[in-house]
Amino acid sequence: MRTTVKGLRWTMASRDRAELRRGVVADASAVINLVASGAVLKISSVLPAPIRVVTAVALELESGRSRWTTSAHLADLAAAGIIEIVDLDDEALRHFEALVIGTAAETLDDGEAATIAYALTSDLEALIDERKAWRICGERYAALAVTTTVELLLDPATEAELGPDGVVDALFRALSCGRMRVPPPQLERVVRILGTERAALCHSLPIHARIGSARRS
Amino acid sequence: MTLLEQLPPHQVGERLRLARETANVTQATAAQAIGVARTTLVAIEQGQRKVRLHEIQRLAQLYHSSVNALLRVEAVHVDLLPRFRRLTGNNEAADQASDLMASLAMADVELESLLGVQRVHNYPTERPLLKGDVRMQAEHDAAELRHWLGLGMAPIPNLVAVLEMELGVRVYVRRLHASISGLFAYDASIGACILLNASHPRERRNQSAGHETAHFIATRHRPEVLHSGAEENSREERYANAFARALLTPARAVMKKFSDFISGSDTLTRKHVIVLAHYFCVSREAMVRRLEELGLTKEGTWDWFCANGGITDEQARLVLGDQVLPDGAKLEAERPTTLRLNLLAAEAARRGLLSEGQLARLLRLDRLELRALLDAYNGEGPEVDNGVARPS
Repeated sequence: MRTTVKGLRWTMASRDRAELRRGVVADASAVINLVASGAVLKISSVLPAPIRVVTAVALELESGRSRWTTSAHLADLAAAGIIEIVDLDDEALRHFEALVIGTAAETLDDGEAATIAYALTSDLEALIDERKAWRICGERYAALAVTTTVELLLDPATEAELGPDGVVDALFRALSCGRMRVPPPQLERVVRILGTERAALCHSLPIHARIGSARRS
Repeated sequence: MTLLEQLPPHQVGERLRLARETANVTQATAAQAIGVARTTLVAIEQGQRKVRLHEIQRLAQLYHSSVNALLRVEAVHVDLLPRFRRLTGNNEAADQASDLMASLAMADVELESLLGVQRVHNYPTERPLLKGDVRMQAEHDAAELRHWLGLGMAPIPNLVAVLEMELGVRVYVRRLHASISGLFAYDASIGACILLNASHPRERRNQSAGHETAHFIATRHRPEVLHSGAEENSREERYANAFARALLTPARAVMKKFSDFISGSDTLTRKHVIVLAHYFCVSREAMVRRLEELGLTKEGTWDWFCANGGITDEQARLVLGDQVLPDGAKLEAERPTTLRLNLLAAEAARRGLLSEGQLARLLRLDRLELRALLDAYNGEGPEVDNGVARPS
């Protein structure tokens, strides 16, 4: 099932799972959340190939490696075969150029732009946990499949790997340690899965989702 | 023609030159990084040869920047750091401080531009140094500024607020190396900026603000780093120190308060110095030296205090009691960016004007630091989140 929110076509968790088998290219915003979830190894195991990370993202994450994760470094993930660092070809570079040159409101930083550019020229989904990038993808690249860390965590294949409690724990860690962003269509479901007590502790969830859930309970 | 090729080559070249100089990378190193001759790099920076995408990607990486940060329309590019470096040589502490001030000011200006914030400033007329005694000029110019601001003879306990609110100067108070008291810079695109050392006591910061204000008044287009304890080895420095003294401790006001506080006593005690320094919000040393300068106490009085145990913070606490307030600027300096930048950044994020990657780079924050900042500003409790619509 696909829904449209503010121009962005969301790929929902109940979609055809064959699509996810295409693999993902992840932006820094998502890599941080995947690692924070503590479940990156198991999540990657349900994907058909290592998680691709473009060089610009790798460089950014490496430069902030002392703080972006508490448990793993990019090089360790690459060495374990969980991620693969990739470069843009000429066609992807043309998309990249269009995404970094222009007004601030209509451009993205290099890592975000390169991730989208790579996804556009490969058979991969763009794994991004960033609101402006979601908007730009929705407005400019209608055919591009964009997924999120939340979506990966809620995927039945991931749940089969982690178990229901494992999914809740991974979600909670991604939200509390990584301050993961959750797309609006999935907010209610995430809060329901977490439970009101845990949701209230996740400050990256919008206030209405946290407070609202506590009031309802 | 690609988007990059459509950009004015002179503008791109100038931005690349500023980024290279700010990163302290030589032309030879930059040329080598992209596999061209140094003359080709010079041609790129002068806009005579268009830079190619793979070249600007590599250069952005070398300059610790990004293609987007270099090329997006609203990005602000100034050469504060290279200017300071030319003045101070390869002084690491000065480099770090001027780099910090430039990054804060550039982020401020870009965010203001994106959000449509009009920063109003009200700069007093510049008063260039003239021939003759600079100390007399400083006394006159400080009195003129006080008059212009309508301050009369009142003490200025928070000169930073005066500079920000009355003049529209960008003032930042951040932790710097102990050897740096303050910096002043002026650039047409960002206006007048002052950076003060949050690690120094409030009274000393007030004096540093006075010193940097002097540069703003007299040598606006010649930024200069103030080193703690630096000798007055130039007319500008002598002027700046005299201006700060005259601005914060005007002669007539000091004489009046000296008379009020000392009355009935035939000696200048530690208690008198503590109360006077507190009243004018300057350091105890600055207060005594001003009294010496004005002939209200013998020359060498401060040296006498020093030789006899000095005047300690503990003694000041005993005299002033609960009048010693917490230093808010010190607390704010513990945060990764300034409160105002936080607000601007949170609003830019809320409106979807800048992405997480763009904001993290602009504010020089780790992604998690940025997320914490945005969560604090955009996701706190309803009493913080809710508001009323502003009148249109």
